This record gives sequence, C-alpha cells and structure tokens, in this order.
Amino acid sequence: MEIQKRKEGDVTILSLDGRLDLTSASSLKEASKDILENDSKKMVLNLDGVDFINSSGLGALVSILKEVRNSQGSMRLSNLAPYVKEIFDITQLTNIFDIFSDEKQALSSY
Amino acid sequence: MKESLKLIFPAKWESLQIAEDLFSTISKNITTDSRTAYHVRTVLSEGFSNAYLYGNSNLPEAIIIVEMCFNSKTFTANIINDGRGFADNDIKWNEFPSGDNESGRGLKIIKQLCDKLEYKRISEDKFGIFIEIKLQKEEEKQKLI
Repeated sequence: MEIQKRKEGDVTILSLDGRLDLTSASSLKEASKDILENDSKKMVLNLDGVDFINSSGLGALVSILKEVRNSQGSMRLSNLAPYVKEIFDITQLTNIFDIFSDEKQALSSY
Repeated sequence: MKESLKLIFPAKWESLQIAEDLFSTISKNITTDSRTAYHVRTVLSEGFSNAYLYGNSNLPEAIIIVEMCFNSKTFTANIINDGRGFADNDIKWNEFPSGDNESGRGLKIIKQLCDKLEYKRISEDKFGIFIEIKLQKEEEKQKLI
C-alpha cells in the first residue's frame, strides 16, 4: 500500500492507495505515529485509493485512533469505497470513527 | 460445471501478499456481481489471515491449504491450517469487539458474509473452516421482483 502525506493548515492528510490488510497495517501505524510525534495532532485518512480492507486493516485503524486519542488529537476518515464502508458497517466501527464522504467535508469538520 | 482449485502455502509472512493477490484475482473471475466477489475475497482473506496468525505458523513445516470449488451458483472453500483451532464457545458470534480492541473481528466478518460456516478439528494438529457463499443472490432477487 502506498501512503502519501500532505498538510492543509494544521491538519495532516494521509492518502492511502492499495489494500489495507496484515501486510500493510504496520506501515500505516508507523506513518501515523510519526505524524503524531512530529507533525500535527489532527489527521485525515483519505481511503479513496483503498480497494480492500480486512480485519487486520481495521485493527490498524483502531490502533491509530487509540494513539490519536492518547495524544489528545483527532482523526477523520474519508472517501470510503462502498464495499469498504460495508465492512465498517458490519463490524459496527462506523460508530467509533468519524467518517466523511469526502476529504473536503472531513477537513471542514475541524 | 464445477471448477475447483487447491492452493498450498507455507505458513509464512511471504505467503500473505501472494495469497491476497490470488484471492483478488480469483474472486473477480468467479462471479460478475462485484459485491459478491468482494465478499468472496474478504472471506478468503480473513480465513487465511486467521490461519496464519492463530495456527502453528511457528512450526517450520506449517502450511495453509485453501481448497475452492465453484459453479455459477455456489462458491465453497476450505481453509485448513496446522493448529488446534477454536471451539464454538470461544467465540461470541453476535458481538463485535468494542472500539478499543484491535483484534477479534475476522471470524465474525466471515460469519456475516457467508451463507454457511462450519469449523472443525480435522486431526489432533489440523483445523479447518468451511465456508459457502451463494453467487446468484442478486439474480434471484431480480427474479422475485
């Protein structure tokens, strides 16, 4: 999975491309940890390029959310593909994450 | 006409990416319904990841077997790994972990997406999950309208 980072004001945006599973989970957690330690406490994860997520990927996002909250930060998810969103619905994680249909709305929520 | 496929992987980290690539390709080729294809891919991915994480992957000769069989109506798969597996009362099938838990969702996702899920200890050191997904759900729904 590819991860691209950029900033919009005081919000760091990570754009993800590929599948979010056991093989890519650790690199995403590392990237997020680096942002929290060195960059900003506000994050948007744009999943527009994520064509597949499994429970390992979900676990990585949960782990990141915990780190964000422990750092008194905040995190948004945006641009979930319909079948990716379905997995969030099934696992009831739509109740846990702040999910927006597009990046602009996610940024505006800050 | 039935198609079948048997894949045998070493239970090693390197197998994960190969398996995921194969599941992606296979799922797109067994049905034209994209949502069902996604479900098939997800179920295979979750079953394989579970076998890797919780099977005896530390054994040097450990393997994960994925046997698939499908026709126009039904997809079935057996995912078999070395290890003792789990018992039914180990899993609260209707409860998903809270937002604090990083794990514990994989098997429940399989249960939600499959039409049939069975699991059993095959031998003292081999365990398998058996899944079935109907491929013609959307067409059947259309016929009923």
